[in-house]
Amino acid sequence: MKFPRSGQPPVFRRGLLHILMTVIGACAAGTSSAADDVVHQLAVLYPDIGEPYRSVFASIIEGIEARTGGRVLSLPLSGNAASADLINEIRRRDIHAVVTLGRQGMRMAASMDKGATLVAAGVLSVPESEAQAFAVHSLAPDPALLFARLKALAPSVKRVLVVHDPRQNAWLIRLAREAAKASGLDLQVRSAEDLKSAVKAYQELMAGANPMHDAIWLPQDATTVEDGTILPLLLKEAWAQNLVLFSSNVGHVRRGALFALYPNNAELGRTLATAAMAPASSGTRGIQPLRDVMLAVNTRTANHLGLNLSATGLRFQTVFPEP
Amino acid sequence: MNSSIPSPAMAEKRASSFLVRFMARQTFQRQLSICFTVGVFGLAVFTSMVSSWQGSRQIHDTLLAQSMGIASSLAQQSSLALLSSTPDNAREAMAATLAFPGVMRVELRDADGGVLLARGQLPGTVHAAPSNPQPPTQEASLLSEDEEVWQFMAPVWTRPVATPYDVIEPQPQYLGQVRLVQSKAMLASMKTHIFVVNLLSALFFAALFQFAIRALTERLTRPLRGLARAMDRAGQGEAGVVAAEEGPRDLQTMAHAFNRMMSALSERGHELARHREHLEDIVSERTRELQLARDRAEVASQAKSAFLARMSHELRTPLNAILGYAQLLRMEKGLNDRLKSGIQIIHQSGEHLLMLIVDILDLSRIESGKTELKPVVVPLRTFIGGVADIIRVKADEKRLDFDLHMDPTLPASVTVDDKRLRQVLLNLLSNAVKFTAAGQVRLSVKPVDASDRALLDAPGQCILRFEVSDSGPGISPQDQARIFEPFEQAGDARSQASGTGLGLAIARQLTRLMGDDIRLSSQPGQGSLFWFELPLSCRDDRPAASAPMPAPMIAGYEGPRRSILVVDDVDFNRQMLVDLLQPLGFQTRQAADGIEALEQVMARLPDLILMDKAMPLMDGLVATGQIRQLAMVKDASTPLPVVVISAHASGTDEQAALASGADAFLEKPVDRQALLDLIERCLGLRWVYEA
Repeated sequence: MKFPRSGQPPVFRRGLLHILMTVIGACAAGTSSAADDVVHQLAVLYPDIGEPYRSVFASIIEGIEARTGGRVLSLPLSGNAASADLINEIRRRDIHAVVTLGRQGMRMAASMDKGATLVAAGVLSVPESEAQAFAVHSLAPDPALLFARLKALAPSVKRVLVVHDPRQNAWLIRLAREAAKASGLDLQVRSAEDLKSAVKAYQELMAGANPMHDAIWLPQDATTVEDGTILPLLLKEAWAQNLVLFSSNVGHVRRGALFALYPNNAELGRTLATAAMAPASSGTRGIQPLRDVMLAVNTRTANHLGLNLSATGLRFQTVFPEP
Repeated sequence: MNSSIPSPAMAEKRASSFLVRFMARQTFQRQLSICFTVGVFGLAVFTSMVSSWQGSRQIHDTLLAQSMGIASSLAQQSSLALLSSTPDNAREAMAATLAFPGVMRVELRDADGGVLLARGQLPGTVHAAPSNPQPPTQEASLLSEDEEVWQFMAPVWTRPVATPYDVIEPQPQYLGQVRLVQSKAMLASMKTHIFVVNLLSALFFAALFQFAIRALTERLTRPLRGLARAMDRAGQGEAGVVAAEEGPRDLQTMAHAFNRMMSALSERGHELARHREHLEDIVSERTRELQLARDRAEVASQAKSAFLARMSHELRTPLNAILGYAQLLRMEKGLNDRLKSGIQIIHQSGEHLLMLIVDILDLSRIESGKTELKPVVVPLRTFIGGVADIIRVKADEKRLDFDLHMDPTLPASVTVDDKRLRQVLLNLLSNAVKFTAAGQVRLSVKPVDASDRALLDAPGQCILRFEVSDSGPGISPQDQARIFEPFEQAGDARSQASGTGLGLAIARQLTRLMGDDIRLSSQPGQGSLFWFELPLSCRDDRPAASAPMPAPMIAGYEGPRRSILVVDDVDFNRQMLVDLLQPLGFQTRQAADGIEALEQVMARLPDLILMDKAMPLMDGLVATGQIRQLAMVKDASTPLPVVVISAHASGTDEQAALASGADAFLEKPVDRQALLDLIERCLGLRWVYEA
C-alpha cells in the first residue's frame, strides 16, 4: 500500500472521507450549476486524481468547508481543464480567496490574478523562490513540533543528525536550527544534492553517532531520503546501534522509525480557510511549516530503545504495529 | 559441361521413372503400406523438428526473459553497493545470481563503467561486451550474443517516488549497471533433449500407427486380393468364376459388378457359341454351294476345252486329207486350167475353214488366259513390208489404193511376238479391205513422242503407233462398242461381209495382251481409223535380214532309201502321207493304231515314225513311250526319231508328245513343207530339187 508522505489516515476515516468527497463534489456541482446566485467566499482548486491522494484532499476541503460554512467553490484540476477557464470562472464569481492544493494547484496559483488572496497548500519540496507572491503551507511538519515530541519521547537525545538537499529544504533547516536551539538540541546538518552524496553523508554521520545522545531525522526530502535503499540501511543501522530515528513521514514509522508527525488534514483545511479569508494586507507570504499535525509511534522500536511511552503523556493518533 | 553428366532434371526424371516402375511392381497392400510408412515416419520427423524448433524458440525467449529478469533483480539489489561504492553490499546478491543455472559471470559496474565487482569466468572464446552504452537504457537489454553465450546489461537507477505534493519532481539517478553472461549450453541441451523426446514419442506412435495401418490394409485388401484372383482366373480363361462379395461396400460393388460382367460374358459366350455353330452350318452350306458351282464351272470349262479340242480334232482330221491332197494335186503335172482352178478353190476353202478353226481356238485360249507371247527380235521394216505385201494383193483384187507409211525415224528392229502382231495387223487390214468398196486403205507406223511416259524409264524402250484407216462406210457410234464382241459385225445383215466375226475380238484381246488396246475413231460415211500403241524394246542395229528365197520343188534326197512308218487310224490321212512321201523316194509302211505300230517296229526298225496322237486301242503317246522302251530301239546304232502328229493343236499336246519320247511335234493339217523340214532335220537328209 502506498501512503502520502504527509501522513496516513486510518482506514475507516479514509472511507468516510471518500464518501464526503463524493458528496462535496456533488454539492459543489449542484451549487455551481443550479444556484449561481449563491455567494462563495472561497474557491478551492484541487488535483482531480485517484486514491490515496483524493482522500487527503477531500479531508482538507472538508476542513475548509467546515471553516467557511460551506460557501466553498471546489474546482477540480484535471489534465484537460484550461487554466484560463478556471480563472475566468473565479473572476466571474467575484471570489477573492483561493486555496490551491498540490503541485498542480500551486502552479495554477502562480499564474492567477494577484488581486485575490492566494494560499497554496498540500505541497512539499517547494523552492523558496516560488513562494514569494503568496503563502505556501507545506506538508513538512514544523521542526519545533518534531523536536518537542523527540524531547518528550527520548529525553536523552542531545543531538539531531540530518542530511538534506538545500534546493528543497533550506527554509526548513533554518527553522530546524532555530527550533533546535530553542529546544537545547544540537543540529548536525549535512547537505547532499544527489543520493550517492547523501549515502556518503549518512555513512559519515552514522559512523560518528552516539546512541546515547544522537538521533537521526529523516525530513521529507526527495533527494536524500530514499525508501528503497537508504531507509532500510538507516533503519538497520539505527536498530543495530540503538539510535533514535524519527521522521516526517508516517510510513517510515510503520517500517521501524520511532515516531513521525503527519498532517491533520481537516484541521489543516480550517487553517487554510482562515488564512485565505484573512484580509489581504494581513496575509503572510512565504513557506509555512505544517502545524496541524498528529503523532504516529512504533511501539516495537520504542521498546527496543527502552523507552516508556506511557510516561511521556503524549497522545498517539496512530500506533504501529497495528493491532 | 560434360554431356555424359546427367542434368539434375534428367536425374530427377530418371528417379521418378524408377519410382513409378518400382511402385508398379508392388501389390496394392504393399503400396499402401509404403505410402503410409513413408508418410507417417516423415510426419514424425517433421513434427519432431517443428515442435523442437518451436520449443527451442520458447525456451530461447524464456531464457532471455529470465536472464534479463535475473539481471534486473541483481541491478535492484546492487543499488546500495553502487551508492556506497561498497562491493560487499552486492556480494551476496551476486553469489545468489551465479547460482542460477547457466549464469557464467556477473559484473557490477559504476556509472563511469569501472568494474566494482565481478564474479564467474568468461569463456576464452567469448569477448566481453563493449563498455557502457550512452545514454544508459531504463530496462535490462541484450548487449551481445554469439554461439556460446548471451551478454545482458541491466542499468541501476535510483527510483524516487513522485507524489502530487512534490513541487520539484525527483529525478532518477543512474548509478551503474550489472553485466550478466548467460551460457547457451542449457539451451542447446534442452533443444537436443526436446528433439530426441519428441522424435522418440513420434516414432513410437508412428510404429503403433503403422501396425494399425497394416492391420487395416490387410483387412481392406483381403477382399480386393480375392477379387483380383477371381479376375486373374477369369483372365486365364476359366469359366464360371464368381468373386466373393465381401469387404467394404465399394469392393462389394466391384465384386458384384464383376460377377454381373462374368455372367453377361458367359451368356454372351453361349450365344456366340450358338451363333458359331449356326455360322459354321451356313459357311459349310455356302462352301458346298460354291464348291458345287466351282466344280460345275470347271466341268463346264473342261467340257468347253474338250469340246473345242474335239471339234478342232474332228474338223482338222478331214481337213488334213483335203488340204494334203489339194497340195499333192497342185503338184501334178498335166492338169488343165479348169482342174487347177478347182483344186485351188478346194485348197483355199480348206485354208479358210482351217482359219476359222484356228480363230475359234485362239479366242478360246486367250479368254482362258492360256496364251503367252513369244517376243523375238524382228526387223521392223521387213516385217511391216511383209504384212503390206499380203494386203496389197487383196487390195489390188478389189481395186483399192493401198498406202503404206513408215516413219523415217522408226527403229531398225523391235522385240515383239511377230506372229501375234502380224495377226492383229492383218485382221485390221483385212477388215478394212473387206468393208471398203472403193477408195483407200492405209497402214501407218510411227514412233510416239513418249518422253513423259513413266513406262519408258528403261533405256531402249519406245512406243510405236500402228494406224489402219480406210475410206469405207464408217461405223455408227452404237456399233463401235459392239464390233469388238465375238461373232459381231457392224451394219445390217445385208451389208455384212463373210467371216466368223471373231477377228476384231481376237485382235483386241491380243493387243491388250501386248500392253495396249485397239481404239476406234469413225463416223458413218467418213471411213474408219483403228489404232493402237505398243510399248516395245527398240534397237537401231539392223539384224541380218535374210532375203526371202522362192522355195524350189523337192524331187528326192541323196543317199540310201529310208523307211518311214506312218501310223494313223484314219485311212485317208495315212494314205495322204504315204502319197506325199513315196514320190520323194521314201519306203513307207503303215499301221492303224499303237499296237500295230509296235508290231511293225519289232518286225523291222524303220528310220522314222510319223505317229498320230489320237488313236483307238493304243494312242500315239503310249505307243511312242513303249517303242522307246524296246531293247532293239535302245540298242540300235542310230536313234529312231518319232514325230507326233496331232489335230489337237495346243502347247499342252506338244509338251505331252515330247515328254512321251517324241522328237518333234506337227499340227494337222500337215503342211507339206513343214513336214519335209522335220524329216530333213531328223534324218539328216539333203534334198534333191527339181531342175
